[in-house]
Amino acid sequence: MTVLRIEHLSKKFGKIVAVSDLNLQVEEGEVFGFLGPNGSGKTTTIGMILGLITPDEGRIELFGKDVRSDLSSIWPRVGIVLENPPFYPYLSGWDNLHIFSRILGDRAGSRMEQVLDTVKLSSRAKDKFGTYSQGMKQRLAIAYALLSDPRFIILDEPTNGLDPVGMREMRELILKLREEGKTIFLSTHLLHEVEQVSSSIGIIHQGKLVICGKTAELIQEKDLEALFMEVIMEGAK
Amino acid sequence: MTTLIGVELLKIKKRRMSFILLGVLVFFFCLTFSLYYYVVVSSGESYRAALAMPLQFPDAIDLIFSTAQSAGSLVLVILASFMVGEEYGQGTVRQMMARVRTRSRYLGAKILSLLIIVLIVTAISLIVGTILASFTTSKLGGLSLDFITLSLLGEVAKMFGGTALTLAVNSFLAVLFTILARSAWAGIGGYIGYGLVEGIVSTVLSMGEGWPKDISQYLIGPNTFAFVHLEIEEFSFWLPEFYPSAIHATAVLLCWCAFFLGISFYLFRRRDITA
Repeated sequence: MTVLRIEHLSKKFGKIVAVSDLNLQVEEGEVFGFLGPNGSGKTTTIGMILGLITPDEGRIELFGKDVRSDLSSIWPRVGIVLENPPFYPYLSGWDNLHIFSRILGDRAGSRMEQVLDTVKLSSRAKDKFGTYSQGMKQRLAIAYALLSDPRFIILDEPTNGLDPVGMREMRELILKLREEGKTIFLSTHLLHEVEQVSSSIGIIHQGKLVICGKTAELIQEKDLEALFMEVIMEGAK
Repeated sequence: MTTLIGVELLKIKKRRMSFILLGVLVFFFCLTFSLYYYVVVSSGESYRAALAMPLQFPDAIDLIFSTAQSAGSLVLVILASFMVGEEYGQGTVRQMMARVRTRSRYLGAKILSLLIIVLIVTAISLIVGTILASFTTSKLGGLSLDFITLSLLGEVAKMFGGTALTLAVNSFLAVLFTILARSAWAGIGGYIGYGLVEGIVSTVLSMGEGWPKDISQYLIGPNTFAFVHLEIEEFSFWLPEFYPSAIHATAVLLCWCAFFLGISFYLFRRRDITA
């Protein structure tokens, strides 16, 4: 089953082309590594998937439904980790999660303790988000993404600002989620991370998807870093 | 929608700023009454009776509502600006919009929460003002409840509603500027800027003749006066040249509310929410 299908997606901000004729699809159970240098259009693409940014052209489907239609039934099946996890600094981690749990329809927050345990944040849950380290913020973001036990998780730069230990924990968590059968859309510029966890890869550069395919096939002849640099250098010519 | 309103009220309740602003409101009332009281007690015997009137019931009701309008506006403009603007600053607007999806519902919940806060601020102002006015009335002549009549209660209800409407207009103005510039400070600055521009425009137009002179009857400031003066009073030394009826003022202020909210909703729905 196709979880995410993007067809002919384009977006301009003034004269700047952020995304140009992007086509891709993510199948159920896949970890899709969405790679690209800074400013390549990754976050804009995610913004369009989430309905934060209106595309100029193209179509996005989640679980077979156009994202511009009413997705209230589908939305709890999608978990989201946005870049630089945005939460309310004056609220505790617990209160932040409770707010989104209520919005997702679970007023009692029945899964909150479980997801906080999963990301090892239970002991600091009552502390204010503003006092959290970057790693704790990222872990709270993961807890938030798992709140509704989603089938599809979008991760936008989840290792941003993490130390090597935090990166490793994040990698292990992604692998664990993959083992549980979750579909993951992982946007990052950290090639090493993607190489270890992704089953498919798409490389976006200057708004265009320049390479897309199975990870194992793409890195048969050269490693991901060499492939990535080749693509970027070609784009620069 | 009720969930979203509950979430907004929880956020207001949990932030320290809300209680600091509440303190500012109470402080502003105490300052106004104590300064006024000081002026009265330090004035000569011949003026004292006239000067003391605004601190004694029923005239003190004017002072309560005029203070509620000025201090309440200050507090609510800051609160409204941060309620909307900080969501942009912290990036939480992306997190919320990725979940709520319907932008009108999200902004609608903020506006309805703001209206609830407007009513709370007006009620707190009335309570604090009544306590202070009871104190000054008893100090300056003796407190008696004889002045309370049905018609006075009706007048107070009208002033309460009008003051809440005035606070709502000012808050919505701040919300508009906040959304326009995606910043809380723009909301506060926009409110101050509008006040200055309106003051200048009103003054200049009032010096003219014909229809330009009438324009000020449709601005916000002059219409707020309709709700800070008891109609049963015989005398007031500070009434402006144009004194609108409550119906006229209500209609004008509601039009401004609709205008500010209309543009706010339009902008919020149309624009992309970027990082």
